[in-house]
Amino acid sequence: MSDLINQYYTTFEDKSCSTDCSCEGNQSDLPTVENVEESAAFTRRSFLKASGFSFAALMTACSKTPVQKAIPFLIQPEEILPGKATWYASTSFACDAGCAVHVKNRDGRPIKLEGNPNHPITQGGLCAQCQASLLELYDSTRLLDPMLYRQSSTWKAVDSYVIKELRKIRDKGKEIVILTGTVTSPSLEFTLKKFKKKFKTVSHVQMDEYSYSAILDAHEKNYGQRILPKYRFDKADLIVSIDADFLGSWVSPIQFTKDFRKNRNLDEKKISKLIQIESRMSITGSKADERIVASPSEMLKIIEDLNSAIQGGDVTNEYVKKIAEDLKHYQGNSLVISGINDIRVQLIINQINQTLGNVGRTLDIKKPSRQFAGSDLNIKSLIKKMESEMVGALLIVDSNPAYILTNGNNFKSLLKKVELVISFSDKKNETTDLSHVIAPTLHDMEAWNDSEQTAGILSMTQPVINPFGKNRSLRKSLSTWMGNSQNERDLVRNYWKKIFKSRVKSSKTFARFWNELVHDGYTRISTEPIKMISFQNQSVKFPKLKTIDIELVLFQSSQLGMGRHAENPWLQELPDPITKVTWDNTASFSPETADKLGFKKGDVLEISSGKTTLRLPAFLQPGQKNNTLVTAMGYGRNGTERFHELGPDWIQKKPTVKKGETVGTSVSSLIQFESEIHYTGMPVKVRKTGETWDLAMTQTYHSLKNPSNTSPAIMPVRPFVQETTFNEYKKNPSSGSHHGHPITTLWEDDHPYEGHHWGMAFDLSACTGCSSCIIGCQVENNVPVVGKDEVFRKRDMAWLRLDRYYSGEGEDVDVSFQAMMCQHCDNAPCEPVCPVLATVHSSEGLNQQVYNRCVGTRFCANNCPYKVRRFNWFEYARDDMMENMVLNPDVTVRSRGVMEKCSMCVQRIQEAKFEAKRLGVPLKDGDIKLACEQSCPADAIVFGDLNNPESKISKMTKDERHYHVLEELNILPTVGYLTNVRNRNIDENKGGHNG
Amino acid sequence: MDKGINKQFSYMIAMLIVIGLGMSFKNSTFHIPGNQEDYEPKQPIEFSHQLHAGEMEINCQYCHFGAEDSKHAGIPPAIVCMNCHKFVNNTTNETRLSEQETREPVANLEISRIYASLGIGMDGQKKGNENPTKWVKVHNVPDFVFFSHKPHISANVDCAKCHGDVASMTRVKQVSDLSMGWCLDCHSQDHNQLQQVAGRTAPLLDCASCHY
Repeated sequence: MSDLINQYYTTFEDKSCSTDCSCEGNQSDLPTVENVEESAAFTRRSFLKASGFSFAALMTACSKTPVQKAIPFLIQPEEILPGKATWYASTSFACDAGCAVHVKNRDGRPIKLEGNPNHPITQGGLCAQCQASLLELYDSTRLLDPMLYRQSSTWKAVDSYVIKELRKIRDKGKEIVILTGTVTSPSLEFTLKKFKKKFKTVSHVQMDEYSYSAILDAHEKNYGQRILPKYRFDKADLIVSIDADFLGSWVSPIQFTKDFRKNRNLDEKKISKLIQIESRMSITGSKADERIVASPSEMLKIIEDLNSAIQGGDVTNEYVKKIAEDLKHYQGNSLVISGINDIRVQLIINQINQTLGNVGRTLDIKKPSRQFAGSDLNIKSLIKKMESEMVGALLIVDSNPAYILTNGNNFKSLLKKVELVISFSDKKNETTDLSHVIAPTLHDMEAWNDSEQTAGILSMTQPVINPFGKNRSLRKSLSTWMGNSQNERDLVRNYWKKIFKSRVKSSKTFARFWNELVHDGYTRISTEPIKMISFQNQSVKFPKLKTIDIELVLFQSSQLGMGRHAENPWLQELPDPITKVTWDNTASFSPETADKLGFKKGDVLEISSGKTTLRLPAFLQPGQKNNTLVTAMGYGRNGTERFHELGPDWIQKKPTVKKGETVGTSVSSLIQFESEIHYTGMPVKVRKTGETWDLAMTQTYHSLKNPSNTSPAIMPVRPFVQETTFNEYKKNPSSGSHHGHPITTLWEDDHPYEGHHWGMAFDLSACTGCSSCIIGCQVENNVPVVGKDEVFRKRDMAWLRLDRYYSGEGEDVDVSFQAMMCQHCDNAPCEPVCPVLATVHSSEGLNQQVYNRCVGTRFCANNCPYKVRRFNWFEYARDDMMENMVLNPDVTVRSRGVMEKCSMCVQRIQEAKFEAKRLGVPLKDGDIKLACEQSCPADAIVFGDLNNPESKISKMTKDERHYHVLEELNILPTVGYLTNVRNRNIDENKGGHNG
Repeated sequence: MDKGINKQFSYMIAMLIVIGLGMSFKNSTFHIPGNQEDYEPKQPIEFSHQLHAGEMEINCQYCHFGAEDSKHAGIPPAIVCMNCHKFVNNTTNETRLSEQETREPVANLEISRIYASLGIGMDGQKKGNENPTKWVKVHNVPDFVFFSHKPHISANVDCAKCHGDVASMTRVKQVSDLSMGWCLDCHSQDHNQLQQVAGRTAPLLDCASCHY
C-alpha cells in the first residue's frame, strides 16, 4: 500500500525523494526562520527603541476612545440600506470572453463579483480574471483625467484639439483607423458606423490580444462567412482537442467548463471522453481522459493523418487510427477542435467536423459566437499602411499593440509615423506612453454597455459606482466628437429604443424590455439568419517536416491574460494552476530535456530566436513534450515596476521586483507574425547563463505528508488523491477509494450537532484547476497579498489552495487537482493545543478561529495535518486607501500576530440565517453558497447541512466515491472528497494507478 | 545598563501606570478601556427621544427603519424627519400651540437645523448648501464584533433591553456596557420565550456567532 502514496508527487524535484532525504520537497513545512545577522541582533539601542514603542503603545491604549461620527443620508435612495448589500446584474469584460456577473454593492461600493446563475452563456461561473478585476477599479494609478501630450488636461481642450486634428487628417485624405478588440456591443458598432460616415476616411480594425483569426478565416473559406462557431461541449460525447486549452484560456473557458461538466455527470452512467493532444501541460490536459504529447510540428502530422483516416485513407500511426475509429463511432456527437492559429490546420479541422456530421450539432454555425472577430490580415495591412505613412490618426481602444506586436514590425516605431495617436485606456501602458492623446475609459463597474457575445443573447453592463474620475467610454468620446451630447446611458438606451422593434420579437413595451434587461443582465433577441454557402472543400498541403532542436510553445497566461491584468497583485500572486509559480513566468522544459541540456530549476537561460534574445528562469515540468520550451505570455509589462514596494516592511525584506524591473519577462517578441500570428512551433536556441533566479512557488511547502515514523505499520497510508476509471466505476462505484478501515477512538462522542452540521464536498472529477475559487476566497475574506519574497518564505496567506498532484512517468503524466482548505475536523487537532482557546468548535461543526483571542503561539498550525492555517507574520500593508475600498466589511481585517484560516464563509452562513429568521422559515439547502462554491464553473464544490438528509451534501457524502483525506488519523474532517474518475480504458491506460 | 537608567525607567513606568489608570477613571467610575457605559455625548441637534419616543409614542423603527433588515438600525435620513417636520415647525405649527410657549426657542432652533442640513430655509426655499448632520455615535462595539440588529428584531427582542428606556431620555445615554459578558447574560438564557424559527436551534454561544 505504501507504494501508492509515492505515485503522487508535487514537483519533479520532489519525485524521487524518500522521507528521509533532504531534498527540497521534504524540507520542513514550517516557514524558515533565517539566522539573524549580527547587525540585526538585539542591542541596547534596539532595546531602548522597543521600550519606547511599548510606552507609546501603552499611552495610546489608555487614551480616550475616539468619538465616532455617524452621518446619515439626507435623502436615502430607496434601494440602499446602510449595512445591507444590494446586488446588480452586469457583465464584466476582464477576460476576453466576458462573464455575466452579479455585483455585490455595500454602501455604494462594489465589493464582490459573483456569477449570474441565470445567464445562458456563463451559467453562473466566473473566471479568476473577472473576479479579480474588481481590484483594478480601486487602482490608485488609474488615469482619471484626459491627457494631451503627456499633460493632464480637460475634456474641453482634448475634444476641440481632437476634432480639429481629425478634420485636418480627413481633409488631407489620410486614413483614420480605429483599432479595437472585438466589438460585441451593437450600440458601439452603430456609433462606429456613424463615426465612419462623419469622418469619411475612417476604417475599423479589430485585433484580439490573442488571435483566433485562423478559425474565422477557415470558416470564411469553407462556409462563406467569417464566423467563430459556438462550440457545444455539452452535446459532445467525444472531444478531441489539439492544443486547445478550452478549459483554461481558449475562447470562452467558463462557458466551456460549464458545458463540459454537464456531460460528465457520473449519475447518468455515460460521460463524455476528452482526448487532448498537446505539447505543454495545460489544465485541459490535466482533465483529459487520454492525453497525447506531441511537439507542434508533430501535431500538424497528426492532424493530417487524422483527417485522412477519417476520410477513409490508410495511416500508419496506430493511435491516430484508433482516435479516427472512435470519432467515426461518435459521428454527430463528437467535436474536434484545435487552438493552433494556422488556417491550414483549421481548414482540416473544419473538414473533419463536416465529415463527422458535427456541424449543426456540436458546433453551431447558425448562431455563432461573436466573442472574437479579429483578423491577422487586417492587422498586417494596417502595419503596411502605417509603414507607408497612410495612417493619419490611430485610435487605439483598450488594447496594447505596442506590447503585443513587437516582433519584426515593431509597433512602437510605427506609432511614431502616425500624426495623431489617441489611446483609450484608463491605465498607462506601453501604447499610451507613445500616444499623443489619452482618453481614459471607464471600468466595467462604472460603465453602461451592451454586448452580444453569442448571436441572440444580449448582455448588459450597468454602472454600480459613480466614476472615480472624468473618464468616458469610447462610445461617449466618439459621440462627443460627432457633436452628440447624450449621456452614457442614453447612448445605449436610445440605440435600443430605435431598433427595439426589429430585434425584439415580443409584445413588451420598450420601457419594460429595458428594465428587465437591466434587472436580469441579459435578454434573448432575434438574430438575422446568416447566409451560409454549403461546405466548400479546400485542399491543404503542409510543407515537409523540418527537424527542430527545440520548439517554442507560447501560451496565454490564465491569470494575466495577454498582460492585461499584469498590474493586478491578486492575479500575480495567484499561482499558475500547473507550475504553482507566482510572480514570474518561466521557461518550462521536460525533466528529460533539461537533463540533456544540463540545467535545473531556477537556472537563468538565454533564449534566442532570430534577432531577439531574452532571459527566463528554467522550470522542470513533468508531462511536457521533450524538446519543447513552454512559456507564458502576458508577463514583463511596463507598470509592474510598482510592485517593488509590495509586501511587508522588515529588516530582511527582499523586493518582489528589483527597482525598475518588471514582473516576469515579456516574450511577445518571440511571437511569429508572418501572414498569421503563430504562437507555437518556432525554433529557439537556449543557452545557460550561469545565473540563478529564485522562483516563488506554492506547494513546495504546506505539503501533506504522512511520515512513516508516525504511522504504525498496521495503518495503511492512503493517497490524498484517489482515482479510478469510468469502466471500473461502473462495475464498482467505490473503486479507487481506499477507505473503510477500522478506527478506534479515544474521543468521547459528546458533540451531538443537533442543529446544523456544516460540511463540504469537493469533486476531484469535476475540478479543472481554473483557480477561480482561490480569488473568490481572497476577495470575500480580505486575504492579503504578501509579495514574492513572502511566498518564497512559505508565508503566503491563501485560505484555500489548490494542490496539484502529478502521477506517472516522463511525458506520460496525469495531473489531479485537490482544493485544500480547513477541513473543520470534528476531532480537530488544532483545538486542544491552543493555550488561550482561540480556536474552538462551534455547535454546528465549524472550527472557529477567534482573532481577538489569538496570541499567536502557532501551536495550532503545527498540529494541523492539512497545513491550512496561515499566520499573520506582519501587519500586511494596507497603505493604499483606494484599494482598501474593496475590503469586505463583514470580515475582520486580521492584524499582525494572529492565526487565520478558512471559516467556511461563516459571515455568509450568518447572513443566510438572519434572513431565514426574518422570514420565519427554516434554512433551505442551497441558501448558503460559499465564495469558492459560487465561483466554481465546474460545480466541484458543494456546501451544505450534513444533518439534512435531503441536502446535496448529504447525498454526496453517501456517494461511494466519497472519502476523507488522512482519514486514518481519525480527526473526522467534515470536508470530503470524491474520487477522480477518468474515462479511459484500463488496458491501454498509460497511468493505470489504482486499477 | 547602569543603575541610574534603571531607576529612571522604574519612575517612568510607575508614572505611566498612574497616568493610564487616572485616564481610565471617569466621573469616579472605573471603566476598562473600551467600555463606554454612561456615555452621553452632546449631539449636533438637541434631539429629544423623550419627546418623540416618549410623549409622541413614535415607534422606534419608524425612524430607525434599518433595524429590521440590516446590521445597522441606522440614523434616519433628514428626509424622514421632514415627514413630520415639514408641517411641525414653528411657522405652521397648529397642533402643539399650547406647548409652544415653553418649547418655542429650542424647537425652532433645532428644527431649523434639519432644514439647514437639507439646504433649505424654513420657507422651503433653497438656501445654502446641503450639509448632512454629523451625529455622534453612542453605541459602539469593537471592530472584531459583528453585531446585527436584524436577528434581534426578528426574535422580538425589545429595543429597551439593550438601549435602556430611551423613551425617557432627552439625550441618549449608553446604559449597558456592551461587553461580551453582558451579551452572554442574555444569550445563555433559555430562549423559548423568544420567537423561534421552526426546525432549527440557534447557536447563541458559538464564538463565530459574532466573531469572524
